Amino acid sequence: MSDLLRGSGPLPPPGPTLASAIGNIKPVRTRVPARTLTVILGIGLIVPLFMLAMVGPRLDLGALPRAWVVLMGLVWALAALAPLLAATVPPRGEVLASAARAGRIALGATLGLLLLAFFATVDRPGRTVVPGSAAEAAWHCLRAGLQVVVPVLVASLLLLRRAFPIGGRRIAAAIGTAGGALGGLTLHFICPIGGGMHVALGHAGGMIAGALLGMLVLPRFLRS
Amino acid sequence: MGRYCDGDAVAFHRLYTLVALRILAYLIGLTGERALAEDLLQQTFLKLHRSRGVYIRGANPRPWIYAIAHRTCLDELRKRKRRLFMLTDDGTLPREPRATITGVPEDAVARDHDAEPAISLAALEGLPVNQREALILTKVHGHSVAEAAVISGTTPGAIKLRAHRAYVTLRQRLTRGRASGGGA
Repeated sequence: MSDLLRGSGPLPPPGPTLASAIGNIKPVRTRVPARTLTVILGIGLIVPLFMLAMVGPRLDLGALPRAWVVLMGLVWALAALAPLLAATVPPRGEVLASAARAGRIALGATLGLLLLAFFATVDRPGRTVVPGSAAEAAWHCLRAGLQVVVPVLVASLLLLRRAFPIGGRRIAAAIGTAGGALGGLTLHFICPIGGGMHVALGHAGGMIAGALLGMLVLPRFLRS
Repeated sequence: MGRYCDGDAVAFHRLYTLVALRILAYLIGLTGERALAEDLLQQTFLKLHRSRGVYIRGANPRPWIYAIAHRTCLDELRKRKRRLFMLTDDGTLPREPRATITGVPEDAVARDHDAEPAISLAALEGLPVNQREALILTKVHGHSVAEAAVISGTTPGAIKLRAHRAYVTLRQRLTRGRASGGGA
């Protein structure tokens, strides 16, 4: 293969625009991935805590098996943390997080929670609410979940601006999925409506809606 | 890179000297045009300068700079695809004289190098961009498959497949070229 392709030959000097930018160089604060992750998570938890304080815990919480409540809570938390971690914290010694990996993790988390919602939702007849209109109830929860997604997207937009020259769409989807899972975690503790279909559409559906919203809004800001 | 982020202009020039030539070579491989590649190199370093705040101290900046170059190049190639051209009277595209960033006509620079680069570039030119980038990153610039995957925003498996396909196509072309050259 030729030397030209390997990188020999004359090196052009920095052009006038670049030279002038370098002439006015100022120190900048560099990124610390763990701090970015913590701040995004912290901002993402503001709305859930507010909702929990305003609405209170779900009415059937005491009647549900404690192990199931805790285990599903952990699964929701993991589904929020894993895509966010993959999107914001690159492997040691690298600047770029792998967009492909983040996208895969987000997809896996969404599919896993859709399946769990369908097949592993526990109800307590008499205490768990059965909705009059399933679609209306799912839409209500989906909207509540999206309220949790928005601050996560805004925080990511500010903290990860220009951080991803490549794969911004998949990173945005992973961040949106994480926001949706945070919404699902919130709804797991406040929504008394039962049925696998409702939890899958209204709660886990928030992860899909979050991913779509993220892909719509974030990529242009994430791109270098 | 850390000192550059601290506002040290000398550190930038050192970084530029260390990596710019390889990035330029990568861009030449992708575009097939030295003048365009030099323009994209300037854009790449401008983008790097604007986004230096996302650098993580202690990390290797090379794959990141390659990724910025990759994105800059893809954007330019897409822009060119959409661009409208005015045809000449005989229905062909007008030939634009090309020059390097220093203003020297590109033909003059090309003459300074041996004939081999032209052959290699011509062979690469017909390959799809994703195969070309996989081949250049792994076989020419010596990046690992994982690094190349991060630069291109894809999976290591996809990079292996693209590089292999590009390699097979190139081998076929070069063999065909040699056979036709020998027969003449």
